[in-house]
Amino acid sequence: MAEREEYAFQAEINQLLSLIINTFYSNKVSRRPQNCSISWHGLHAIAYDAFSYHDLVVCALAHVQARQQLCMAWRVDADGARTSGRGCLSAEAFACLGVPLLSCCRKFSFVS
Amino acid sequence: MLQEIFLRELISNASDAIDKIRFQSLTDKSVLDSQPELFIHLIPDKANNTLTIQDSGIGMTKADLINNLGTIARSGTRAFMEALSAGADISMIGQFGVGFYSAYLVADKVTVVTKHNDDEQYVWESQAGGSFTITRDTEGESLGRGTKIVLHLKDDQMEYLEERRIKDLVKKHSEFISYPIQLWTSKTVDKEVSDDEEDEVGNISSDTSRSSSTSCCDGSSAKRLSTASVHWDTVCIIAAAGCASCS
Repeated sequence: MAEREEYAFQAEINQLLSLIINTFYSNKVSRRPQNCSISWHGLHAIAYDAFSYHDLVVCALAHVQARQQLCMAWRVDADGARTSGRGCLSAEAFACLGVPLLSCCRKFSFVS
Repeated sequence: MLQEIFLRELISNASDAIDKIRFQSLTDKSVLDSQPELFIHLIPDKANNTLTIQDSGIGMTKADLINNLGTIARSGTRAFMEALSAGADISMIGQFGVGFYSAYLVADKVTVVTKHNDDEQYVWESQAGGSFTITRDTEGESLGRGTKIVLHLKDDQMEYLEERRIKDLVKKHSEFISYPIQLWTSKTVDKEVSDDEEDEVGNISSDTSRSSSTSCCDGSSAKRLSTASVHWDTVCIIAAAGCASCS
């Protein structure tokens, strides 16, 4: 084998690795609460509440159920009515919705 | 389980790497000479507790290895960490371009062997303790071209060595990959053979073991042999260009 060269991980990558190893991997227990249960009614209420802070808000909330992470995404129009809604995978919802999804999730974060 | 997304991410990266070499081959067919087949191989090794994901994609030069796997943070690194703190989950890691690091969800050590047409074969290795090493690979098996990622699985992640589990994961998360995904599988087959045949089989396969012996009504004896055969089992679902097994 040729000479071995050692490199240090860039700081942010190191931080990410620590996060992956220490936070997400912890004896098979994920960081996200597994027993979170929010009713459809509750989701709608959250969407309506979010509307009061934004003219047009896209609200999505991860719903962990039977080890499947599902999202319900709503587009709420000016009068607060739900104009569209469908179930989708969390990753799919994120790809479509981006930061608004995250900010809403943060605002209405799960209680573990 | 959230950890399972590592396989989707690594297969997705493998597919991207094959896309790149296939794109190059449109203008210069000779780039495929080093490895004409385009494939993704999954190799569980229960003896060494490793799961290997190998592709015949574009591979990485030494500079690519240093830059892409550790020293230059992509913009997505910070963005992903911010997203995590805002409530995103780990399954979104691929969207930030840092899916490779999800390997550490299931592995405590990761070894990357890679060969690019423009460079020698190199080995990248890290246990994520703040550093990684790069070595020119002068002794290992030649890849021709492509990348081999060896995951040294954590003690409680051995489920990812099970054939059934891997197949299910590929079907669940990597159904629409455009290249053949092949799983290295071992199958035990029981076969009745005569004494003569037994000698022949015994000479051919060292994995053959006698499990029982029976006497037939005509007085001849038949022996039942258990033969462990290993082969590639194609797991990909869609019939892709270059995937002879699926089309």
